[in-house]
Amino acid sequence: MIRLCGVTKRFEGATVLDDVSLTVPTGATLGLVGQGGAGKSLVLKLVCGLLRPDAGQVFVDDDEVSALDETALMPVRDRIGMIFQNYALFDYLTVGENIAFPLRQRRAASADEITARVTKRLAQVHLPGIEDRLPAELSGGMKKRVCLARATIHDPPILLCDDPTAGLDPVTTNRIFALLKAMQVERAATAVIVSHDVPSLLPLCDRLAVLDRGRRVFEGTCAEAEASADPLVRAFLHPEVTP
Amino acid sequence: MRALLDLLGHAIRDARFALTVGGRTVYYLARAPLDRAAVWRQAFEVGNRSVLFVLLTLGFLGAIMNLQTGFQALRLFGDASLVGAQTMPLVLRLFGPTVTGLMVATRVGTGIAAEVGSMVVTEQVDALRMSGAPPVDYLVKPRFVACILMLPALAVLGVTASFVAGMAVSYGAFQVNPATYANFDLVRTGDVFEGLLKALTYGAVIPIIAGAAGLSARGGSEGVGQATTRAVVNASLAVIVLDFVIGGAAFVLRT
Amino acid sequence: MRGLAARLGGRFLDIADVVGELALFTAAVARAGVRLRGDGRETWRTLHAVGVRSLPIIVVTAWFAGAIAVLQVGEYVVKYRAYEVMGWGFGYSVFREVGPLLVGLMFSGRVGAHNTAELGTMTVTEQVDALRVLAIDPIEYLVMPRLVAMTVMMTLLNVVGDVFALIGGMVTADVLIGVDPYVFWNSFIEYVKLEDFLNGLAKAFSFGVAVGLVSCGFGLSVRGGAPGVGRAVNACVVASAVGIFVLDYFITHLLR
Repeated sequence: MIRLCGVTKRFEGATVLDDVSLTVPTGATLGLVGQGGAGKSLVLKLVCGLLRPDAGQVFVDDDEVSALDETALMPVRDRIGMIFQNYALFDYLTVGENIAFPLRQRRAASADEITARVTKRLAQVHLPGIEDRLPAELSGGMKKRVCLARATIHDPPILLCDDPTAGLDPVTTNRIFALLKAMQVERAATAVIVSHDVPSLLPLCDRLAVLDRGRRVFEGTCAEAEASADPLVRAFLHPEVTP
Repeated sequence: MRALLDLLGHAIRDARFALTVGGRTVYYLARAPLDRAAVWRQAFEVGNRSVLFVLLTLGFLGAIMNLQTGFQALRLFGDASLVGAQTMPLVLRLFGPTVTGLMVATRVGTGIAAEVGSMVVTEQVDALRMSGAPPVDYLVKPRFVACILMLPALAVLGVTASFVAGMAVSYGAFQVNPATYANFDLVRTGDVFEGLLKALTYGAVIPIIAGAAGLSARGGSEGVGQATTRAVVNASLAVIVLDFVIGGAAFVLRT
Repeated sequence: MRGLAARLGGRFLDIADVVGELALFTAAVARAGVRLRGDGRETWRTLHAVGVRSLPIIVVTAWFAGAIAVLQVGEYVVKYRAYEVMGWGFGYSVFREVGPLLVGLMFSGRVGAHNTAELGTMTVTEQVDALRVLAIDPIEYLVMPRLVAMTVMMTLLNVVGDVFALIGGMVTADVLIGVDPYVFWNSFIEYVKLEDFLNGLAKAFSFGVAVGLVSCGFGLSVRGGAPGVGRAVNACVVASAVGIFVLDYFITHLLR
């Protein structure tokens, strides 16, 4: 379970998250929606403790992430897989080394086992046999999938996706969402997915939250979102009718 | 006046952050295993990047010092045969290690800040933290150990380059016989120790300051550029200040 | 062995490449300089920016340069009890050598690196191309003002640096060696000649030109996005440092 209670975050005087509360029950998937600069990526970084809130608390299961130091955060982060908006692949490591990195760093498995798991994971994201390429040689969609593979290599029960289809063409976008769906079915992970592509996002989500300039304007089930009268929620759910 | 106070504020913030990074480096050095392969890779990088640069600059420095000292000696005593003896202690305890330190701060310091800084702005450092690799442990520690190993070695090479260039210039400009030039009468063991201590200290401080500058990079390519500039300036300044501190302590001990 | 030879050869080709490119760039700048082309307002703005950016760091550096020089001279002063030559030994080494050298290196790190980053970012974001399309010559509009500002400021900063080095030297001599500031000042005034000061000034001037040319040249030739800017900054400070040492050597030789 992921819980944000009254979280506020400021950057150099500007309030970028203002008293935001969210709940993601175990096994559920939350779609996090909002315009650019609404604070969506920030929520994800707060959840994994990469940033600290100025007020409020952040919980992952029973751990209060917002109160833990970097060392104490390690076991929490072991349970989280994070897909970064701009891939964040280590550009000096090969694809194989990138995906193996979280396992190697944690000394979680033997070398042979790691290699086997990397091979298997690459096949799962439909990129078999590219272990020895460097990230710079890949296209955007391929990098996203490698990032997905790296984020899930240690089988985390929680998955955070920061705009997994940003800057991708519609075909690749569909492929990524299909992959996410497949992974979700396979392991029933708790997940938060940030996106502005709501029509593609809806089939994956149990719940939806909408942020607007740092404030939460909606949180509820997808059915509740459909029924919402809030103009921004409507604009996101039905982009085709918005003037 | 505002600008000056602003600058002071920045300096204090940079220094505090560098101290934090330094403290964490020592902590991880004591607590976490050292990745020897990474250290060797970094040591090779440091050496490979700066050896030619250090040889070149220190060579010219040796030539310049011997010219200055020689001209002065000619004017005062009409004899420049002691330039080698006179410049040697200075090169050993001051110019050798300190100018090598400045050059490494320039060459390697900018490199570290640029590498780490671009990893920060592309979220690779966040990805490290998510993968159970603390950035200071994974990025700064190997560079720290590598620089401590390499800086004394580079300083020795630099002193040698300076010695050889000085010898050549003294022969060319003042007809000082190389055998006369190679006069170590004024050198004491203390000078060698002082020089090595300085080199070691710079080796410890430069990667920390450059790493801290890189880790505090914010916002795109401009942020990386700023971090790089900050790394050269802060690291060079630290070298100069530490030279004064160590040199001052050595001076007080000597007299 | 062959690999090493190839690498060394490649390194020298790279260096030759850089030197050649800089020479062409210098020629282009010189042409604009001869025609006295340059943007006046931009020059004032840059002068101010360069001065503000580098003054504090130069003051601190110069203070320590003076202090360090006193430590080195102090050894002989104490040994031979020749307190009355303190100011002379100090002035000779600082004004001619240590001052301009350290101030020059710091100037290159602070102003040169910043300049390369700035011009580099303008280049990779196509702002320089935009200038060309507007029929504005980047050399007249961007390079000349910076070159003039950096040369003038480096020369002026060297004077400021000499003053603060003197203060740093006097304080250190008083505290650590026990040379009375009055004695220090007298020996300084008596023995240090105008030519020592001018010698340093000539060096500072040439370092200013070198840092200006190198930083503008590297900035405008940046390729390949943000990492390219980082590489250019690195190359700029390295090339500036080499330039400073080489120029220092030749000027020392010429103006003995």
